[in-house]
Amino acid sequence: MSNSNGQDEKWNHFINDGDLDALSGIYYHYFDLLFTYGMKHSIEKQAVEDAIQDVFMNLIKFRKSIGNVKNLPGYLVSAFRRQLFLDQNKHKRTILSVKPPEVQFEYFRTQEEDIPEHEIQEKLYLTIKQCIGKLTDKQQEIIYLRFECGVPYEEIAEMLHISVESCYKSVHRSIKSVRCEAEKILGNGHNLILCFLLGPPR
Amino acid sequence: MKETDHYETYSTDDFILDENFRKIVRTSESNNLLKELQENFPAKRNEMNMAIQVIRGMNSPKFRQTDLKKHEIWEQIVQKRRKQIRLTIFRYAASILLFIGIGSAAIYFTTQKPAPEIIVSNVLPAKNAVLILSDGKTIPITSKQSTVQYSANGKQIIVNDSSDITQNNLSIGFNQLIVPYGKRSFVVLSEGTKVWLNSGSKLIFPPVFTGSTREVVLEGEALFDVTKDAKKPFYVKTDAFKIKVYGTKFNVQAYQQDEDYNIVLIEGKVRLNSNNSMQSKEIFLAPNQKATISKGHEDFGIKNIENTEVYTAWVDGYLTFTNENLPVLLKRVSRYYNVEIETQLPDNIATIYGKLDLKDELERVLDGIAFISKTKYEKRGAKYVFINN
Repeated sequence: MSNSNGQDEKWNHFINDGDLDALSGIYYHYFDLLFTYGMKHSIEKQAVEDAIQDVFMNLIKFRKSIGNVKNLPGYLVSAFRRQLFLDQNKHKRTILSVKPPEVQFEYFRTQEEDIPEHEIQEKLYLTIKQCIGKLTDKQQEIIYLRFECGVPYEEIAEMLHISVESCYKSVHRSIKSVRCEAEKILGNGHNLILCFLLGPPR
Repeated sequence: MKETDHYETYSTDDFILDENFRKIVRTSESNNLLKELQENFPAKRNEMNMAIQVIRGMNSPKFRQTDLKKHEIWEQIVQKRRKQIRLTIFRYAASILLFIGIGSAAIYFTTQKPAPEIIVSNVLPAKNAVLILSDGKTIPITSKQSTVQYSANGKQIIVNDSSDITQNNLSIGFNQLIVPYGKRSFVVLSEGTKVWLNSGSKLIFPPVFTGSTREVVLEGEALFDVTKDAKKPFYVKTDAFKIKVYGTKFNVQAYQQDEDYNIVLIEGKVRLNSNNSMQSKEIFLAPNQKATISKGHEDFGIKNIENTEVYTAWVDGYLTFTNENLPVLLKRVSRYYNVEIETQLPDNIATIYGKLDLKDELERVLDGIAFISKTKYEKRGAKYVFINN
């Protein structure tokens, strides 16, 4: 859910005039988003970087045939995902020509040497982590796309080849179970302390 | 009318699912905004609090990439054609190897991209030091000893306390400071880190460090005094190794034409990784320790040293040496004064101790060296030749 101030304007500059400076602004702005999303799939770093590179090279190459883009992060994430699995499947198929492997996704996957970012109570964090960890990889990916990438339901549905309805339901169900677990830890509201005022988010 | 108007009827889950509410929770000035919302909707206090906890708890950890790497990838995107071809060849090779079944080692090997091309040229300009801005503009610096200072936002650059340069478009690209033989420079980076660059050196750095790390590339010799920032590690990369620090003082010698590269730690703690090894073994240095890595080797040798001044005195215009090999010392002098010095000496020549004032005329310095090492030198054309006495 990154702040996309001015990115749409840059996008129009790029699409209409082929302005590469504008595209470079978009590249730097969305790099972390795409990179993190790729890494959550447990795919090798090099392959994630290659896919980012290919997405932007294709944008330049096929600029004139890109239609109307409603949601820029959604569009980029979707193109990136396609590229990522296109490459993955190319590699995998050559060894054993079986069907492409299951898509892996882990919402709470982290970079090894990261210092934990969470300052909220450890117990709550671990509970939420565990609760999300129990969801299927696909369910985790759906919430991730909605919550972290800000991709609209319709586009998530299209990306993952599911109906908008089931996409919507999946997020609601996941949130409900996370919230229930959180309530078990914190109590259901009446005795909830105002702890959020203590630690600003990192 | 407003996005918040539905809040009256919201359940906890509705708050969590509301994109606008999530945005508020995740902005840095969220506390005030949230306080305000709670005052406007006192009946929804508990729901909001619970939602806030869940949203924060669901914050998914990010993966980070260095600015340098992002820049490299962008460069490859822009210079598409050549890279695209190479990439296809690489992928083709990968599938063949996989087919034979060499396994994971082959995957690793073949998915490597061509080496980064950030180090543009190895040729150092002969006469003046130059500062190259991210837009390619070059600023020659004529003085023998120069200072370059960046403002905190990276936009203003002051060279030698006088000429004031402004650069925009900071998000892209790197600046380079190139110091030829016979010159030295001192640069203060945008976040306050001080770097003394010795003769024949080059430093590549972003005008402002925007990412989660601070990263610079060095060729040659420099003394770093890194500003402390526990959240943004500072990396120095050379063609042979990578150093990671949070705030410390250390000297690096990484001349590509030298056999050995040295890192000397003066204060704090640094972590070293050599570039060669695949599993990248890492070592830590304590103050008063020197790590040496030789060309083509993967391991660092570590030695305790008594006096770090030997390695940093060049900053003040001195050359201190204890138990130094004469040819090595003469190489340093030749860089400093930008003259060619040849040695025709037997291998068993004694090592020497002493201190030279590099502000002196070259020939006075050479006289001193000849005197203490019991050698002599001759001037032949433009170069000096040391021979046994």
